[in-house]
Amino acid sequence: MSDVMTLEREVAAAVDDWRALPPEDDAYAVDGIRPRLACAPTSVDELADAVSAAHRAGASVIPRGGGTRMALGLPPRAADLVVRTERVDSIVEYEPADLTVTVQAGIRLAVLQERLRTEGQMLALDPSAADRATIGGLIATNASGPLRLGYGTVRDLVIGTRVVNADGVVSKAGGRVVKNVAGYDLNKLYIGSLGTVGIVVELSFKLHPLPQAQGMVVATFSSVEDAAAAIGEVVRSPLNAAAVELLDSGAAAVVRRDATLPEQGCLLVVAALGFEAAVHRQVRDIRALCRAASDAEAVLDPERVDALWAVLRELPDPSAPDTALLKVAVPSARSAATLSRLRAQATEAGFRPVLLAHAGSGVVYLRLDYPSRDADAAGHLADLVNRARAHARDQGGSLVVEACPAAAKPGLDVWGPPPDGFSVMRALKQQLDPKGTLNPGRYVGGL
Amino acid sequence: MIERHIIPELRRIVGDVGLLTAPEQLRTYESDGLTSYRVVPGVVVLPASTEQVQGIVRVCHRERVPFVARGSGTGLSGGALPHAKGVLISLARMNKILSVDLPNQRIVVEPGVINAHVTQRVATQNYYYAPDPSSQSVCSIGGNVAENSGGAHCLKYGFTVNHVLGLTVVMPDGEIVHLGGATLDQPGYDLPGVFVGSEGTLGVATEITLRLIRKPEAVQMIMAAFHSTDHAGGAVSEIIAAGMLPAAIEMMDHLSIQAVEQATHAGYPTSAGAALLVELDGPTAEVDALIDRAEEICERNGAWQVRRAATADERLLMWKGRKAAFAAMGRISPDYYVQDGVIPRTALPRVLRRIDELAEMHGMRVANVFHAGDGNLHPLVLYDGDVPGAAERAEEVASEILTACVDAGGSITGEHGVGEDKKKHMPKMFNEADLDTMNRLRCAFDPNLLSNPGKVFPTPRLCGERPGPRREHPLVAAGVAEIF
Ligand SMILES: Cc1cc2nc3c(=O)[nH]c(=O)nc-3n(C[C@H](O)[C@H](O)[C@H](O)COP(=O)(O)OP(=O)(O)OC[C@H]3O[C@@H](n4cnc5c(N)ncnc54)[C@H](O)[C@@H]3O)c2cc1C
Repeated sequence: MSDVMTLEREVAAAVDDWRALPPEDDAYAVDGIRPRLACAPTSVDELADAVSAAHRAGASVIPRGGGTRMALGLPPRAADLVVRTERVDSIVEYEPADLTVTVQAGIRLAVLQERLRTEGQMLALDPSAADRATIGGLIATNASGPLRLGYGTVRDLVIGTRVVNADGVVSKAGGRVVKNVAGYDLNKLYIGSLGTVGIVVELSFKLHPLPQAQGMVVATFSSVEDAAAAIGEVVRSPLNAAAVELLDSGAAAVVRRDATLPEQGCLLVVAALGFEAAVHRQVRDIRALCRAASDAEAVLDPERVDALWAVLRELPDPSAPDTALLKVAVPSARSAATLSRLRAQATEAGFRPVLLAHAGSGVVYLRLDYPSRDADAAGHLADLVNRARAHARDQGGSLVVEACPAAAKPGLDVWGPPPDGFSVMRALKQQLDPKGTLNPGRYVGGL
Repeated sequence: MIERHIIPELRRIVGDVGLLTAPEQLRTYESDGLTSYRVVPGVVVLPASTEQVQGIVRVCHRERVPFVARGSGTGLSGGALPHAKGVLISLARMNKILSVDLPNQRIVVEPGVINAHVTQRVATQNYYYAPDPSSQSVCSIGGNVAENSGGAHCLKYGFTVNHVLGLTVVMPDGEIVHLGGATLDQPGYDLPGVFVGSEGTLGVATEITLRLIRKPEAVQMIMAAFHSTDHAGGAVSEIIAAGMLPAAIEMMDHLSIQAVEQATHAGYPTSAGAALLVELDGPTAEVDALIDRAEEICERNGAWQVRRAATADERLLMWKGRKAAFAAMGRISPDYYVQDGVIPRTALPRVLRRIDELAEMHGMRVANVFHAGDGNLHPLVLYDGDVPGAAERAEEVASEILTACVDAGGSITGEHGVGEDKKKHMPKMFNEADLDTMNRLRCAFDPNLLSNPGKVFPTPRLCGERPGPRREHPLVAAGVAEIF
């Protein structure tokens, strides 16, 4: 907690666009905790000055991009100054022939993709809310989508970062070339660190060509065991599926409001991307692999493919109101079984769940409508989190509550118990943010 | 000489078989693959388990004795260069594959396992381990992890870091930690991500969980001969612009082709100004269509000969030439210095011309072998060590080549690491604030700077030092601590 007058003076000297937030203003509240000031720097230098000002004043900083993933993490220990990154949003350097791009962190993913598309390229990252989310926020939360099977996640795409350290000093790591082992790979440290060891202000990425063609096979199964068998076939085959998504009946209902699936049924979506002739053949072969176990399978009409991608991407949207979103990671071959188990646990707990698994990666999302008016909701959610986490941990996996209403947070542990190696994590935070300036308390183990 | 009293204690931990103290034995560990640096280690230990490594490191920590991990000693940046007063920990005896889990595409290995043995273990089930440094038949997974090694196929498949999921690490204070694991997206900082590529300075990896990949359905390869590297470079750009992501694109210039052909008889076109190897892999339908296009593109860019490998053996022979390129230099020069710079692909013609200029200016020959797809150059500066001053001039040329790479927006190392050799070049890429941030990471792992001290960073620094003009650390001034 710092003296608000000092902080105001320091921030006013550092940033042109800042304001004190009225006490009842919830716009920037994090888990119900209301920050006192917000600022919107327009350059890296100005952003660094803002952080430096807060650091000097002993105040805490809440970095904020598009605000789509603010529900992640523990409630902050303190929240003095919101530093918005949205106006630090230019494309710094784009050389299509090198398949690399350098951007400022405040650019929205959809805006960047639009630019890259004009050159027939893309950033192979497809998380939810790309139209609102900033690149910086997506990196800080390590967001991903269905394409992660084919292209990997942020850590496979970032080649350089520039960050504002906790004391306002700007430093960089990596570079702008796709191959580079000079110095420590601090890029990896910043990815998924929720801004607790530095605010990422500039990023360099490796890009991919936009695939010429895409195809999707959609198959329904009356049991998860059958679906698991089909997934195994697809993953073991050399067909290079770009995404293998498994949806429970709740999620399937979102996709196809017309079709009905049995309660225990599920829907498998397998996507192939690439050159026309190849995609055509892959889709045919994938369909044949699914046929043995499925009730019905079809190659999706090409006109409907984009719409289905959009649904798959947006299903696990952490910014949806009155929603709880749990992410469970298990060994990939256990994806289908875990989906089924989580569904049973959630149903027993009285929720109406929607489940989606990136089945080739072992990542299962469980989305629940959170009945805020129900006085017992928090307790039920906490019980479910505990049981689901126990299931994940039995298989060497983990569970993170990616979003839930603030009211539910006190009763549950969003990150789970401190992971092995936590002593190193604590030492890292201590080294890089000794005063606890950045997002204090929100990260794993309360860092 | 090392503190004598720790030797009996080390012997109790690793036994007689795991301890080397005789000078002639120690001398075999004085260098890694970069033999211009030599330091005889104080003592060499060869532990057989994580617990033994822990025991050794605990002793080192207690006595504040530096230690250096070593895999197969093929590193090319002096990373495994021993410390004269330190313990060299060879992981060569920890060479077991601990478990294989094909349904989840994972394998767990000890650090001394040889890279190629991982693939050998799962090849019959149609899986493989993707990172394939040219040294793969001898280098260790532990060394690969420490260097974040690449290989010819990292254009498409990435580097070691993209294939390491979990690590057991003996921390520099002897604590055993398990970082990451078999499942993805674990909460907390990506510690496996920062450990990979840390060149032995953050602790000793004693168990490594790797990702296995399904073998592609089809692989096709062509070798194209061009009049010049510019022409070959034009073909590379057009292949990429066409939206293809080949498994590998390798280029060799005239001098390298000469050397390689003499050494391997792989059928390289010796009169060519440049040769390009392009390998495509993936589903058959895709590879068949694209290899034709790649051929066309080469021809359009002036290739006067394009050969397609008709069989797997032919393909391996083409690769053999490329993978033997460094060693082959022995055919045309008594000595050579391997450089490892990176540039944006588009800067290739410009930087190659600069390399030519530099070679001419210093009266040296430079052979160029490179991973053309990702702009990773391996200029080989040829010299005769018997000629006084030649080695120094070779180093100088190599160093100016790095400057040219950095000026073009690139990096001082793409895969061989900084180690001892390149630490002086770090300021070309990183300023004081960048290095300070890196040092903080290091201090979080190793506050006493015992793990492979003196490498990577251009100037020695202790933990807790403030950035800015360097002042002597109070502990050093008081004679309490020594900067290794
Ligand atoms: C002919 C030749 C070709 C090569 N081709 C390539 C190539 O194509 N691509 C490429 O990337 N490299 C290449 N290299 C370089 C070298 O082979 C790699 O850097 C390799 O990863 C080193 O492995 P190693 O087991 O020999 O490690 P070493 O040389 O023994 O050690 C390298 C570094 O790793 C550290 N280390 C070793 N084991 C551990 C451990 N268990 N825990 C922590 N730190 C550890 C050491 O301290 C040292 O800093 C080549 C080398 C040669 C000689």
